[in-house]
Amino acid sequence: MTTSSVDELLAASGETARVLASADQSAWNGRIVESTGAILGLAHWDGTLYLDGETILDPLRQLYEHAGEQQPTATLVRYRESLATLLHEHGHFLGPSGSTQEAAREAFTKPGSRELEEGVTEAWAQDHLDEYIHRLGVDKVAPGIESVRAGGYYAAFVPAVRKLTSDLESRNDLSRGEVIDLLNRQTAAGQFPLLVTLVYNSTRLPDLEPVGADTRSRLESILRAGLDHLDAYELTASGFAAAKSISTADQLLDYLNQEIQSAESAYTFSPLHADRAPTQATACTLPPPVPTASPHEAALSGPTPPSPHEAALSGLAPPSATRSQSARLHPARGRPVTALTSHAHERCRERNG
Amino acid sequence: MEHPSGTTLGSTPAATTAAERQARADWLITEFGRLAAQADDPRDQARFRRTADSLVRLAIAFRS
Repeated sequence: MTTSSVDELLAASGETARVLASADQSAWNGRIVESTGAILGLAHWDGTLYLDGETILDPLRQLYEHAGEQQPTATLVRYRESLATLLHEHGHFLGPSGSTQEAAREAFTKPGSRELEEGVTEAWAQDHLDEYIHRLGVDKVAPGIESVRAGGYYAAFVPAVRKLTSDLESRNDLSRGEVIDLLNRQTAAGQFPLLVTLVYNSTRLPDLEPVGADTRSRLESILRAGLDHLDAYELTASGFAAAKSISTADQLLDYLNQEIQSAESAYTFSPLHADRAPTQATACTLPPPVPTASPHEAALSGPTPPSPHEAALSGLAPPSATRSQSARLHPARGRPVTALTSHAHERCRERNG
Repeated sequence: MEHPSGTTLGSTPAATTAAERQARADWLITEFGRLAAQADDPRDQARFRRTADSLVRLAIAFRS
Protein backbone atom coordinates (compact mmCIF):
# COMPACT_ATOMS: atom_id res chain seq x y z
CA MET A 1 0.00 0.00 0.00
CA THR A 2 1.14 3.52 -0.75
CA THR A 3 -0.74 6.37 0.84
CA SER A 4 -0.61 9.63 -1.07
CA SER A 5 -2.18 12.05 1.40
CA VAL A 6 -2.52 12.48 5.13
CA ASP A 7 -6.23 11.73 4.81
CA GLU A 8 -5.45 8.42 3.13
CA LEU A 9 -2.86 7.66 5.75
CA LEU A 10 -5.25 8.31 8.61
CA ALA A 11 -8.07 6.39 6.96
CA ALA A 12 -5.83 3.34 6.58
CA SER A 13 -4.11 3.72 9.94
CA GLY A 14 -6.59 1.75 12.03
CA GLU A 15 -7.03 -1.30 9.83
CA THR A 16 -3.31 -1.47 9.12
CA ALA A 17 -2.63 -1.49 12.86
CA ARG A 18 -5.27 -4.18 13.45
CA VAL A 19 -3.88 -6.46 10.73
CA LEU A 20 -0.33 -5.86 11.90
CA ALA A 21 -1.33 -6.92 15.41
CA SER A 22 -3.41 -9.86 14.16
CA ALA A 23 -6.19 -8.59 16.38
CA ASP A 24 -9.79 -9.61 15.77
CA GLN A 25 -11.23 -6.13 16.02
CA SER A 26 -10.58 -2.46 16.60
CA ALA A 27 -12.91 -0.25 18.59
CA TRP A 28 -11.89 2.78 16.53
CA ASN A 29 -15.00 4.38 15.05
CA GLY A 30 -13.08 6.02 12.21
CA ARG A 31 -13.28 9.49 13.74
CA ILE A 32 -10.22 11.62 14.41
CA VAL A 33 -10.53 14.83 16.36
CA GLU A 34 -7.72 17.34 15.95
CA SER A 35 -7.05 18.60 19.44
CA THR A 36 -5.51 21.92 20.27
CA GLY A 37 -5.26 21.61 24.03
CA ALA A 38 -3.08 19.52 26.28
CA ILE A 39 -3.87 16.16 24.70
CA LEU A 40 -1.19 14.70 22.45
CA GLY A 41 -2.89 11.44 21.60
CA LEU A 42 -5.89 9.77 23.18
CA ALA A 43 -7.86 6.65 22.32
CA HIS A 44 -11.19 7.66 23.80
CA TRP A 45 -13.47 4.99 25.17
CA ASP A 46 -16.18 6.05 22.72
CA GLY A 47 -13.93 4.95 19.85
CA THR A 48 -12.76 8.42 18.81
CA LEU A 49 -9.08 9.11 18.27
CA TYR A 50 -7.80 12.49 19.49
CA LEU A 51 -4.54 13.73 17.98
CA ASP A 52 -2.78 17.01 18.65
CA GLY A 53 -2.74 19.27 15.60
CA GLU A 54 0.60 20.93 16.05
CA THR A 55 2.65 17.99 17.33
CA ILE A 56 1.09 14.98 15.59
CA LEU A 57 -0.97 15.99 12.57
CA ASP A 58 1.07 18.91 11.24
CA PRO A 59 4.24 16.81 10.83
CA LEU A 60 2.17 14.22 8.94
CA ARG A 61 0.80 16.93 6.67
CA GLN A 62 4.31 18.20 6.09
CA LEU A 63 5.39 14.65 5.30
CA TYR A 64 3.01 14.49 2.33
CA GLU A 65 3.66 18.08 1.25
CA HIS A 66 7.30 17.09 0.79
CA ALA A 67 6.69 13.58 -0.51
CA GLY A 68 9.79 11.89 -1.87
CA GLU A 69 12.14 14.65 -0.74
CA GLN A 70 15.19 14.09 1.39
CA GLN A 71 14.63 15.54 4.84
CA PRO A 72 17.03 16.29 7.69
CA THR A 73 17.19 13.76 10.51
CA ALA A 74 15.32 16.01 12.95
CA THR A 75 12.39 16.22 10.55
CA LEU A 76 12.36 12.49 9.98
CA VAL A 77 12.40 11.93 13.75
CA ARG A 78 9.40 14.23 14.08
CA TYR A 79 7.53 12.25 11.42
CA ARG A 80 8.46 9.06 13.16
CA GLU A 81 7.25 10.33 16.54
CA SER A 82 3.88 11.22 15.03
CA LEU A 83 3.51 7.78 13.48
CA ALA A 84 4.59 6.12 16.73
CA THR A 85 1.87 7.97 18.58
CA LEU A 86 -0.66 7.04 15.91
CA LEU A 87 0.25 3.34 16.17
CA HIS A 88 0.30 3.44 19.97
CA GLU A 89 -3.17 4.95 20.15
CA HIS A 90 -4.56 2.44 17.67
CA GLY A 91 -3.08 -0.28 19.86
CA HIS A 92 -5.42 0.80 22.64
CA PHE A 93 -8.45 0.11 20.45
CA LEU A 94 -7.52 -3.51 19.69
CA GLY A 95 -9.28 -6.48 21.17
CA PRO A 96 -10.54 -10.00 20.59
CA SER A 97 -13.91 -10.80 19.03
CA GLY A 98 -16.76 -9.88 21.31
CA SER A 99 -14.74 -7.58 23.52
CA THR A 100 -16.40 -4.31 24.46
CA GLN A 101 -15.11 -0.89 25.38
CA GLU A 102 -17.44 -0.90 28.38
CA ALA A 103 -15.72 -3.94 29.88
CA ALA A 104 -12.31 -2.61 28.89
CA ARG A 105 -13.04 0.75 30.49
CA GLU A 106 -14.13 -0.82 33.75
CA ALA A 107 -11.09 -3.10 33.85
CA PHE A 108 -8.78 -0.17 33.10
CA THR A 109 -9.66 1.40 36.46
CA LYS A 110 -8.37 -1.60 38.41
CA PRO A 111 -4.92 -1.35 40.04
CA GLY A 112 -2.11 -2.16 37.65
CA SER A 113 -4.29 -2.20 34.53
CA ARG A 114 -3.24 1.18 33.17
CA GLU A 115 0.43 0.45 33.76
CA LEU A 116 0.17 -2.93 32.04
CA GLU A 117 -1.80 -1.66 29.04
CA GLU A 118 0.39 1.38 28.48
CA GLY A 119 3.55 -0.70 28.84
CA VAL A 120 2.31 -3.36 26.45
CA THR A 121 0.95 -0.91 23.89
CA GLU A 122 4.10 1.19 23.88
CA ALA A 123 6.45 -1.80 23.73
CA TRP A 124 4.45 -3.34 20.91
CA ALA A 125 4.30 -0.03 18.99
CA GLN A 126 8.06 0.44 19.34
CA ASP A 127 8.70 -3.10 18.11
CA HIS A 128 6.38 -2.83 15.11
CA LEU A 129 6.77 0.77 14.02
CA ASP A 130 9.07 0.02 11.07
CA GLU A 131 6.66 -2.57 9.72
CA TYR A 132 3.72 -0.18 10.22
CA ILE A 133 5.57 2.53 8.31
CA HIS A 134 6.36 0.08 5.55
CA ARG A 135 2.79 -1.22 5.27
CA LEU A 136 1.44 2.32 5.01
CA GLY A 137 4.02 3.11 2.34
CA VAL A 138 5.42 5.98 4.34
CA ASP A 139 8.97 4.78 3.72
CA LYS A 140 8.45 5.72 0.07
CA VAL A 141 7.02 9.14 0.93
CA ALA A 142 9.70 9.97 3.49
CA PRO A 143 12.94 8.31 2.37
CA GLY A 144 15.17 7.46 5.29
CA ILE A 145 12.45 7.41 7.94
CA GLU A 146 13.27 3.82 8.80
CA SER A 147 16.90 4.64 9.47
CA VAL A 148 16.26 7.22 12.20
CA ARG A 149 15.26 6.40 15.74
CA ALA A 150 13.05 8.19 18.20
CA GLY A 151 13.09 7.24 21.84
CA GLY A 152 9.97 5.70 23.25
CA TYR A 153 7.77 6.79 26.12
CA TYR A 154 6.46 5.31 29.37
CA ALA A 155 9.91 4.54 30.75
CA ALA A 156 8.34 3.60 34.07
CA PHE A 157 6.23 0.87 32.46
CA VAL A 158 7.92 -0.49 29.33
CA PRO A 159 11.07 -2.02 30.88
CA ALA A 160 9.02 -3.80 33.55
CA VAL A 161 6.58 -5.12 30.97
CA ARG A 162 9.44 -6.33 28.78
CA LYS A 163 11.10 -8.02 31.75
CA LEU A 164 7.89 -9.67 32.90
CA THR A 165 6.80 -10.83 29.46
CA SER A 166 10.29 -12.07 28.65
CA ASP A 167 10.21 -14.18 31.80
CA LEU A 168 6.81 -15.58 30.83
CA GLU A 169 8.09 -16.42 27.37
CA SER A 170 10.91 -18.41 28.93
CA ARG A 171 8.56 -20.17 31.35
CA ASN A 172 6.12 -21.09 28.60
CA ASP A 173 8.62 -21.83 25.85
CA LEU A 174 7.25 -19.03 23.69
CA SER A 175 9.17 -17.02 21.16
CA ARG A 176 10.60 -13.56 21.89
CA GLY A 177 7.93 -10.87 21.85
CA GLU A 178 5.09 -13.34 21.68
CA VAL A 179 3.58 -12.46 25.06
CA ILE A 180 3.57 -8.75 24.23
CA ASP A 181 1.85 -9.59 20.94
CA LEU A 182 -0.75 -11.70 22.76
CA LEU A 183 -1.40 -9.04 25.39
CA ASN A 184 -1.63 -6.33 22.76
CA ARG A 185 -4.55 -8.14 21.13
CA GLN A 186 -6.48 -7.97 24.38
CA THR A 187 -8.36 -5.11 25.91
CA ALA A 188 -7.74 -4.25 29.55
CA ALA A 189 -10.48 -6.73 30.42
CA GLY A 190 -8.47 -9.62 28.99
CA GLN A 191 -4.91 -8.65 29.76
CA PHE A 192 -4.71 -9.61 33.43
CA PRO A 193 -6.57 -12.92 33.02
CA LEU A 194 -4.15 -13.80 30.22
CA LEU A 195 -1.15 -12.76 32.28
CA VAL A 196 -2.28 -14.83 35.26
CA THR A 197 -2.97 -17.83 33.02
CA LEU A 198 0.51 -17.59 31.51
CA VAL A 199 2.03 -17.56 34.98
CA TYR A 200 -0.20 -20.29 36.39
CA ASN A 201 0.11 -22.67 33.45
CA SER A 202 3.88 -22.43 33.53
CA THR A 203 3.85 -24.15 36.93
CA ARG A 204 2.94 -27.62 38.18
CA LEU A 205 -0.12 -26.19 39.90
CA PRO A 206 -2.68 -27.08 37.20
CA ASP A 207 -1.83 -30.74 37.90
CA LEU A 208 -1.49 -30.37 41.66
CA GLU A 209 -4.29 -28.10 42.75
CA PRO A 210 -7.96 -28.92 43.06
CA VAL A 211 -10.36 -26.87 41.01
CA GLY A 212 -11.30 -23.70 42.83
CA ALA A 213 -7.98 -23.13 44.59
CA ASP A 214 -7.31 -19.45 45.10
CA THR A 215 -3.72 -19.41 43.87
CA ARG A 216 -4.68 -17.61 40.67
CA SER A 217 -6.22 -14.75 42.59
CA ARG A 218 -3.09 -14.45 44.73
CA LEU A 219 -0.93 -14.39 41.62
CA GLU A 220 -3.15 -11.67 40.19
CA SER A 221 -2.83 -9.66 43.41
CA ILE A 222 0.96 -9.84 43.20
CA LEU A 223 0.94 -8.82 39.54
CA ARG A 224 -1.46 -5.95 40.15
CA ALA A 225 0.41 -4.66 43.19
CA GLY A 226 3.74 -4.76 41.38
CA LEU A 227 2.52 -3.05 38.25
CA ASP A 228 0.49 -0.51 40.22
CA HIS A 229 3.67 0.41 42.07
CA LEU A 230 5.33 1.50 38.83
CA ASP A 231 3.50 4.79 38.60
CA ALA A 232 5.61 5.99 41.52
CA TYR A 233 8.28 6.56 38.86
CA GLU A 234 6.22 8.32 36.21
CA LEU A 235 7.26 11.71 37.49
CA THR A 236 10.95 10.87 37.53
CA ALA A 237 13.55 11.23 34.78
CA SER A 238 13.42 8.54 32.10
CA GLY A 239 16.70 6.86 33.00
CA PHE A 240 15.82 6.63 36.66
CA ALA A 241 12.29 5.48 35.86
CA ALA A 242 13.59 2.74 33.57
CA ALA A 243 16.03 1.47 36.19
CA LYS A 244 13.34 1.39 38.85
CA SER A 245 10.95 -0.23 36.42
CA ILE A 246 13.38 -3.11 35.96
CA SER A 247 14.13 -3.48 39.67
CA THR A 248 10.40 -3.49 40.42
CA ALA A 249 9.87 -6.21 37.82
CA ASP A 250 12.70 -8.24 39.36
CA GLN A 251 11.04 -7.97 42.72
CA LEU A 252 7.66 -8.81 41.26
CA LEU A 253 9.10 -11.94 39.68
CA ASP A 254 10.66 -12.90 43.01
CA TYR A 255 7.27 -12.57 44.66
CA LEU A 256 5.64 -14.64 41.96
CA ASN A 257 8.29 -17.34 42.26
CA GLN A 258 7.84 -17.45 46.01
CA GLU A 259 4.10 -17.71 45.74
CA ILE A 260 4.39 -20.49 43.18
CA GLN A 261 6.94 -22.31 45.31
CA SER A 262 4.69 -21.92 48.33
CA ALA A 263 1.65 -23.24 46.54
CA GLU A 264 3.51 -26.14 44.94
CA SER A 265 5.19 -27.20 48.14
CA ALA A 266 1.85 -27.25 49.91
CA TYR A 267 0.83 -30.09 47.60
CA THR A 268 4.13 -31.90 47.59
CA PHE A 269 4.80 -31.75 51.33
CA SER A 270 6.12 -35.16 52.37
CA PRO A 271 3.69 -37.11 54.60
CA LEU A 272 6.63 -39.16 55.97
CA HIS A 273 7.80 -36.06 57.76
CA ALA A 274 4.44 -34.50 58.34
CA ASP A 275 3.23 -37.26 60.65
CA ARG A 276 6.28 -37.09 62.92
CA ALA A 277 5.24 -34.80 65.69
CA PRO A 278 8.61 -33.41 66.85
CA THR A 279 9.79 -32.73 63.33
CA GLN A 280 6.41 -31.37 62.47
CA ALA A 281 6.54 -28.94 65.34
CA THR A 282 9.92 -27.71 64.18
CA ALA A 283 8.99 -27.63 60.55
CA CYS A 284 5.82 -25.73 61.27
CA THR A 285 7.68 -22.95 62.98
CA LEU A 286 8.44 -20.12 60.68
CA PRO A 287 11.80 -18.52 61.26
CA PRO A 288 11.73 -15.02 62.64
CA PRO A 289 11.43 -12.39 59.97
CA VAL A 290 14.64 -10.79 58.87
CA PRO A 291 14.43 -7.02 58.90
CA THR A 292 14.64 -5.94 55.31
CA ALA A 293 13.81 -2.84 53.43
CA SER A 294 10.28 -2.73 52.14
CA PRO A 295 9.90 -3.25 48.40
CA HIS A 296 9.44 0.45 47.96
CA GLU A 297 12.41 1.32 50.12
CA ALA A 298 14.49 -1.22 48.28
CA ALA A 299 13.32 0.16 44.98
CA LEU A 300 14.31 3.63 46.03
CA SER A 301 17.68 2.64 47.38
CA GLY A 302 20.85 3.03 45.38
CA PRO A 303 23.30 5.70 44.46
CA THR A 304 20.84 7.99 42.73
CA PRO A 305 19.20 10.40 45.12
CA PRO A 306 15.46 10.91 44.76
CA SER A 307 14.38 13.78 42.58
CA PRO A 308 12.14 16.51 43.99
CA HIS A 309 9.20 14.81 42.35
CA GLU A 310 10.10 11.49 43.80
CA ALA A 311 10.63 13.07 47.17
CA ALA A 312 7.17 14.52 46.87
CA LEU A 313 5.87 11.01 46.34
CA SER A 314 7.85 9.57 49.23
CA GLY A 315 6.22 7.90 52.14
CA LEU A 316 4.37 5.63 49.82
CA ALA A 317 3.57 2.22 51.14
CA PRO A 318 4.95 -1.02 49.70
CA PRO A 319 2.84 -2.82 47.12
CA SER A 320 0.91 -5.19 49.29
CA ALA A 321 0.45 -6.64 52.67
CA THR A 322 -1.81 -9.49 51.65
CA ARG A 323 -1.52 -12.93 53.11
CA SER A 324 0.49 -14.18 50.19
CA GLN A 325 2.98 -11.37 50.49
CA SER A 326 3.29 -11.45 54.24
CA ALA A 327 5.18 -14.71 53.85
CA ARG A 328 7.69 -13.12 51.51
CA LEU A 329 10.06 -11.63 53.97
CA HIS A 330 12.87 -13.78 52.63
CA PRO A 331 13.52 -13.47 48.93
CA ALA A 332 13.54 -16.99 47.53
CA ARG A 333 15.57 -16.66 44.38
CA GLY A 334 19.04 -18.08 44.80
CA ARG A 335 18.43 -19.26 48.35
CA PRO A 336 17.41 -22.63 49.74
CA VAL A 337 13.91 -22.52 51.07
CA THR A 338 14.05 -23.26 54.77
CA ALA A 339 10.72 -21.87 55.81
CA LEU A 340 7.44 -23.62 55.41
CA THR A 341 5.10 -22.06 52.95
CA SER A 342 2.02 -20.28 54.14
CA HIS A 343 -0.07 -23.18 52.84
CA ALA A 344 1.97 -25.81 54.57
CA HIS A 345 1.99 -23.71 57.69
CA GLU A 346 -1.78 -23.60 57.70
CA ARG A 347 -1.90 -27.35 57.20
CA CYS A 348 0.42 -27.80 60.13
CA ARG A 349 -1.77 -25.61 62.25
CA GLU A 350 -4.75 -27.72 61.32
CA ARG A 351 -2.91 -30.88 62.24
CA ASN A 352 -1.64 -29.44 65.49
CA GLY A 353 -5.06 -28.21 66.42
CA MET B 1 3.23 18.90 45.81
CA GLU B 2 1.48 16.62 48.21
CA HIS B 3 -1.49 14.81 46.88
CA PRO B 4 -4.56 16.31 48.54
CA SER B 5 -6.31 12.98 48.99
CA GLY B 6 -3.33 11.48 50.75
CA THR B 7 -3.57 8.46 48.50
CA THR B 8 -0.65 6.13 48.98
CA LEU B 9 0.74 4.87 45.75
CA GLY B 10 1.74 1.26 45.81
CA SER B 11 -0.36 0.43 48.82
CA THR B 12 -2.45 -2.69 48.80
CA PRO B 13 -4.75 -2.39 45.81
CA ALA B 14 -7.73 -3.58 47.77
CA ALA B 15 -7.10 -0.92 50.38
CA THR B 16 -6.98 1.86 47.81
CA THR B 17 -10.48 2.86 46.91
CA ALA B 18 -11.56 3.76 43.42
CA ALA B 19 -12.36 7.26 44.67
CA GLU B 20 -8.82 7.69 45.96
CA ARG B 21 -7.35 6.41 42.74
CA GLN B 22 -9.58 8.73 40.76
CA ALA B 23 -8.59 11.70 42.90
CA ARG B 24 -4.95 10.81 42.46
CA ALA B 25 -5.33 10.57 38.68
CA ASP B 26 -6.94 14.01 38.63
CA TRP B 27 -4.13 15.43 40.70
CA LEU B 28 -1.46 13.87 38.49
CA ILE B 29 -3.10 15.17 35.32
CA THR B 30 -2.73 18.65 36.74
CA GLU B 31 0.86 17.99 37.77
CA PHE B 32 1.90 16.58 34.42
CA GLY B 33 0.18 19.44 32.65
CA ARG B 34 2.12 21.89 34.76
CA LEU B 35 5.38 20.06 34.13
CA ALA B 36 4.74 19.94 30.40
CA ALA B 37 4.07 23.67 30.35
CA GLN B 38 7.31 24.35 32.22
CA ALA B 39 9.53 21.94 30.29
CA ASP B 40 12.06 23.50 27.90
CA ASP B 41 12.96 20.25 26.17
CA PRO B 42 10.31 19.28 23.60
CA ARG B 43 10.97 15.65 24.35
CA ASP B 44 10.20 16.20 28.04
CA GLN B 45 7.07 18.10 27.04
CA ALA B 46 5.96 15.16 24.95
CA ARG B 47 6.80 12.71 27.73
CA PHE B 48 4.72 14.61 30.28
CA ARG B 49 1.85 15.06 27.84
CA ARG B 50 1.80 11.39 26.90
CA THR B 51 1.62 10.44 30.56
CA ALA B 52 -1.11 12.99 31.17
CA ASP B 53 -3.06 11.55 28.22
CA SER B 54 -2.92 8.13 29.82
CA LEU B 55 -4.21 9.54 33.07
CA VAL B 56 -6.95 11.43 31.25
CA ARG B 57 -8.02 8.13 29.73
CA LEU B 58 -8.09 6.67 33.24
CA ALA B 59 -10.03 9.61 34.60
CA ILE B 60 -12.62 9.28 31.81
CA ALA B 61 -12.92 5.56 32.60
CA PHE B 62 -13.59 6.36 36.25
CA ARG B 63 -16.28 8.87 35.34
CA SER B 64 -18.06 6.78 32.72
